[in-house]
This record gives sequence, C-alpha cells and structure tokens, in this order.
Amino acid sequence: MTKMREPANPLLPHNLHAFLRSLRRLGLPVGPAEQALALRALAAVGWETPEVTASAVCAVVATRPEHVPLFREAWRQFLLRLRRQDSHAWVLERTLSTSVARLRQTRHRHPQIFWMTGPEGATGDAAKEHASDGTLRLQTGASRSAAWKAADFAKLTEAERREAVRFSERVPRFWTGSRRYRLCPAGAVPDLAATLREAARKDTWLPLQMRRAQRAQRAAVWVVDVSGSMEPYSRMVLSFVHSLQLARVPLELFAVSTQLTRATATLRTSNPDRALAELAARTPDFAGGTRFADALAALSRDWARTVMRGDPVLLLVTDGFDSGDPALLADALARLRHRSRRVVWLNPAAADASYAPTAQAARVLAATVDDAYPAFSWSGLVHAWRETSVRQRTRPVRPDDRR
Amino acid sequence: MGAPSGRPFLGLGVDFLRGAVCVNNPFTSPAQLQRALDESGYVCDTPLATALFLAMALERPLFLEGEAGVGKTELAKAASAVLGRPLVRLQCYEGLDSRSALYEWNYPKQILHIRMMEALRGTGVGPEPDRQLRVGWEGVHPDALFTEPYLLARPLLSAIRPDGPAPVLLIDEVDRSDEAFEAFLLEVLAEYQVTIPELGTIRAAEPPLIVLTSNRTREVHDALKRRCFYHWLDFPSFEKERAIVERLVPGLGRDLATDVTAFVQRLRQEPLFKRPGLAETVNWAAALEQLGVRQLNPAEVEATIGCLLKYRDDLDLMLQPADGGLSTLQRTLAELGVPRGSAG
Repeated sequence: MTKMREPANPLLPHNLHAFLRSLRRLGLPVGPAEQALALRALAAVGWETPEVTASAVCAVVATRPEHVPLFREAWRQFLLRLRRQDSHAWVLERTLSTSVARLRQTRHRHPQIFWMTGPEGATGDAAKEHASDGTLRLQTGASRSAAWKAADFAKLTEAERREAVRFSERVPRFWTGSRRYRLCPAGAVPDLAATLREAARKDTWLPLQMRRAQRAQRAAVWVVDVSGSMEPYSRMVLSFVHSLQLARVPLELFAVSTQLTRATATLRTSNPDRALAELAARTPDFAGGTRFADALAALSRDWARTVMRGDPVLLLVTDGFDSGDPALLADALARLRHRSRRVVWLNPAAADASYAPTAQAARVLAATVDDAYPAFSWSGLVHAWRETSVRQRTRPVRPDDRR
Repeated sequence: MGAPSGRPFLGLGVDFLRGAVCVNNPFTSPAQLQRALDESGYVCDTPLATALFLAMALERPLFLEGEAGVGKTELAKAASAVLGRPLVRLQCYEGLDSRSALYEWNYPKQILHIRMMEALRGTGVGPEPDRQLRVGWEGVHPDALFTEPYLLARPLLSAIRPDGPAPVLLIDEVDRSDEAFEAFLLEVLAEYQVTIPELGTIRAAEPPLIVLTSNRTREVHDALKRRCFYHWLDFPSFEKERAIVERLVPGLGRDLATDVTAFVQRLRQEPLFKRPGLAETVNWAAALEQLGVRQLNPAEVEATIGCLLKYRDDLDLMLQPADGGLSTLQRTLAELGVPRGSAG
C-alpha cells in the first residue's frame, strides 16, 4: 500500500514544475508526461528522505548515464535555492541552469548552453530591449560530439582528445570488383558448372544456377608524418586509422619521422591507447624531425612491391614542411603513383581557406597528387575518406601515364 | 491496497495518486524494499531501491543500464525472490523476432490434427456418421486451427497471461536486439498488452514487473526509455563491493575479501579494454576460495587472473614486464601492499 505524502510547503509543487521545466535547458527530455510522472513518483516515495526523493525524480527524468550527474547538480542547486526564496523566480531558475552549465564547463571547456546578454555598450532601443522584462535568450550550439569533430585537432581539450581516441566512425569501404563469383539466385549470369553439379546431385533436369561477381575491398596505405610540427594532428590521425583497423578495413600504416617505420602491427591491439603508445615507442624520433622525401623513397624502394599490390589508395598525411630534396620527393611520388589507384594528400595545415602551398615539398605534393583535402579535424578526415571511397572507383587521368 | 484518497495531490487539482496504488507492491517504502533485497542476498543502494520501488508502485518497467557484470540481471532475480513471483526471462539477441518472443503457432500439431480428421472421415469411427463429418469439418476449418490449443506461448505472452501470479519479466540485454524489436516492445511496456491478429488483443489481468537491462553497446531509442524508469548502475564502491564479496563468498575471510576488492578496484583504473565487473570479482573470489588461498600473492593472482580479464590485450598489459622488470600486475600488488606486510 502506498500512502500519499503531502509536502510541508504548499509552494513546492510549483517550484518543482519550474525546476522540471528548467531541466529541459540542460538537455534532459522532460515533457508534460514526465512532469506528471515525477509528481506521481514523489507521491509514492514522499519527501522525508532527501536521497530517495532525488532518486525518484532522477529515475523519471534521466534517460542516459550522462544525465545523472547533471540532474544531481541541478537538484542540489534546486534545494539550495528553495531555502532562499527572497530572490525573484526567474533569477532563481536561470541561476540554477547556469550553475549546472558551469559544472559541465569544468569537464568540457565548450559549454553547450550559454546566455546571451545585451551587447556591450548598447544604448537606446537596443539596451532597452535587453533590459525590458528580464527575458534572456538561450542559444544552443551543436552537440558536444559534433563540436569536437569539427574543431581543429590542435584546439581540442584533453577530454575531447580522449573521446576522439575512443570514437569509432562508420565509414564506407573502398569497394572494387573481384574475379570471384558466388552463387546467387538473383544473379545475372548463369553458372553452367554449378548447374551441372546440381543436376548430377539431385538427378533432375538442369536446375539453372545463377551467379554474380563478388566485391572486394581495396586496401588503403597510410603514410603519416609524425614529426614535431604534426604533433597535434598525427595522434588524432592515427586514432582515425586505428578505428578503421577495428572496422576491418584492409590497410597498411607507415609512420614517417627521421626514417620510415612500418606500423601496421601496432594497430592490431584493440585498445587505442595502447596502440598509440606502442606506435610512439616503436617509431624513432616520434614528434621529432622528419625526412619525408627519403621516407617516400624508402617506401617505394623497400615496401611498395609487398604492400602496394592490388592497386591500393595511397594516403599521405603531412603538412608539407620538409627540408629534403624536392627532386627526390617528386621522383618517389611518381613511382608510387604508378602503383596506386589514387594518391591523396591529407593536409592539416590547410585549416585556413586562404592556404596556399608555399613550402617546397608542399608545392611538389600539390602538383603530383590526385586529390588533396584539409585534414585538421575529425570531420575533415571522415569527409576525405568518404570522397575517396567514391572517387577510387575511377582511375584518375594523369598526363604522364600515357605510355 | 490503499484506497485512493480523492484529495487533489499537491494542490494541483489532479488526482495523481490514483495510479500510485498498486496491488503488486507489498512494500511501503524504498527503505523496506532495500532491507528485503538485502535479506535475500542482494546488496542494493538507495537510488536503485527507489527506482525499483517506483517500478512496482507505479506499475512501470524499470530500465537498467550499466557495464556488464554490475548486477543488473541479478536485481531481477532478487526482485522475483522477494516478491515470491516466478521469473520469466527473455534473452535478446540480434534477429530476435515476435515468434521467438511472443507466440508461435504449433504447426506440427495443426498438421497432425488435419491428417487425423482426414483419416477418420468415412471410417465409421465416432458416434454417428453425420456428427463425425461435422467434427471433422470443424477440426480442419482454418479458423478452428488458429485457437488457443494450437498456440505456443513464448516469454512475453507467458508474462502477460501467466498460469499463476504475475511474474517478474526480465528482458535481458535489450541493446542486442534490433530496432524493429524495440518498436515491437513498446505496446507491451506501455499497455501491458499484446496483439495476436488471429485472437485479438490480450491484456494482462495483473501487470508483471518488467525489468529491462542494457549493456549500452548501442543507444536504445528514447521512445522505449520514456516508458520506463531509468537507472544507471555503475561499478560499486569499495565498501559495497567488499560487502557483496563477503556475502556471496563467506569462506573467503575479511582480510582476503578486502585485498581482492582493493585489487579489482585498482584494476579498473588501468586502461583495460574490458574492465572487470562485480560478477568477475565474485567469480575470482570463489575461485580463490576453491583453491584454498588464504593470502593474496602475485603467483596466485597470475594463475587466476583469467577470472577477471577476458581479452588478450588486457592480459598482455597486466602480465608483460615493463620498465624495471616488473609487470603492471606485480607493481599494482606492490602498491597495495600484497602480500600483506610487504612494502606498500
């Protein structure tokens, strides 16, 4: 049997409604049904035990784990404000929300909720409008994950970096045709051998078997510059490559510092932190100097025959700041291009729209590669990957390929 | 059963209390439920007891989310024990459909019936020929075949239309099922009813207590969550975990239970691919008890670490020697002062 427990303060239901409404501003899905249910829950458990009361409302309004600490903080503020009822109601409601926003801010420096006040130094009508009835405007930005995906890697907070390392993206594959066929009733081509086998097995009159071509995945060969100038970007790019590996995309990874290091094996561990730590440990001069031209020459000379079979896509991640011989770089790129379906340059330095390649190596790269994309953010990498998955279906027209 | 008071609740002019009275809830407060769960062997904190209490009092499902092995499924079993009601379990998996979850027609029985009626027709068996013909016709009529005797009840239907008292329905690991099945569950969760096209809508005479669990391998749709009370079950605190270990493995001893709990709590701070849950702690404690271990030492821990870590990456991380020749496991044990008396 459940008894009804009346609250001591008759204003409490009204305050509770105001509190529940303010939770919407924090992203909790509180509608009228939830408000009614919260009241029923409070009727069932009463107000005697603060923890029980808070837990009851939390069980109604929270739907995700991240809602729970937000709710707890909001509830604490709510109880504190209830004790001081001398302030104006709308001030209390807004103080509550901003306090919780501050809590969130301590974990992520880019709060989703912020208040728009009057512009500094506003006079006349503009100032009057903002001071009229205390109405504050709420502007909600993009979700947290959307914000860090679009942000420059160099500007990410530590929490966002950790989130990015754990993130796995659903990406398209580099599909290509295969010479293999498989039986398929909806296939367009009759498989005569299978038809005869089936006829012999079942002793019937030629049950026609159809087949269609299988698909295969084209490999991606990543060459990532891990020099000091690439420090903020290389780790995130490697996280992205690791997430591709977890998604079973066939790939090879080479890290370029003062020498070329094949790092594909380090990605085989499922833990991204350990994969990156191992890669950093195995790569000499990680976050140190770079010899990109020499490294590409070594790739062409020592590895290309092994890892670049089957017309893979070559993805070069570098800012183009290399002091090596431009002629050597151009030669290595030309050789690698013959073995690649497409050569793609992912350039973290192209964050600015007015970017133009001025460094010598950057100019060589810009003149040689088939496609170039800015790659300073997670969404930039995803965009480049998606575009390449479409473009790799066709072979690019290269003037020097006419032989 | 408490009678509805008729007074407006909280001065809002709406009688919110009407739905709060429930014949299925024998408890008067979350604290009383917490004590009952504690006596049944399930150590439970106040927020969880409150959420379960509300699920019983307001006849609404409880949605439990948390890492694997923190005691979500055990809560449903404990609730079944304290309420004295049977537990009906529906284990979700990818591809689960209404046939496996709700009902299925007993096709072999239907075919047997048709064959039997065909065989009996014209043989003279039966009280009189015309009656035999009529029975035979009724027996093979399509409508007659889709009736109760040919219905195979699966877990959801068993919970909605039980033979005895309303059970506790555990819908386990709902995140493993696909979204179509989630949508199918909405009717059951909101209305406590199911619809069978041939028979119509069947509504529960007495609503079962429904507990859904999810390991959060994917996000469950808000529409489903909105119909439930929600509770996030985190890894337990040191005190709570030690209390559970002592309760479930009483032969372990206080000191060893403390060391075991401290080690597992410390292990969860490592960058593991899968952190050990409460279930792993209890399994490990039981294994140590079986092996007759009286004091934790590195050799015993290495031999039994498979109870806690289930991925090769995690085993490598803990067991492979790092700087100084010590593995992470040995270093962790040394930090904790294990074996007891060694430098901490």
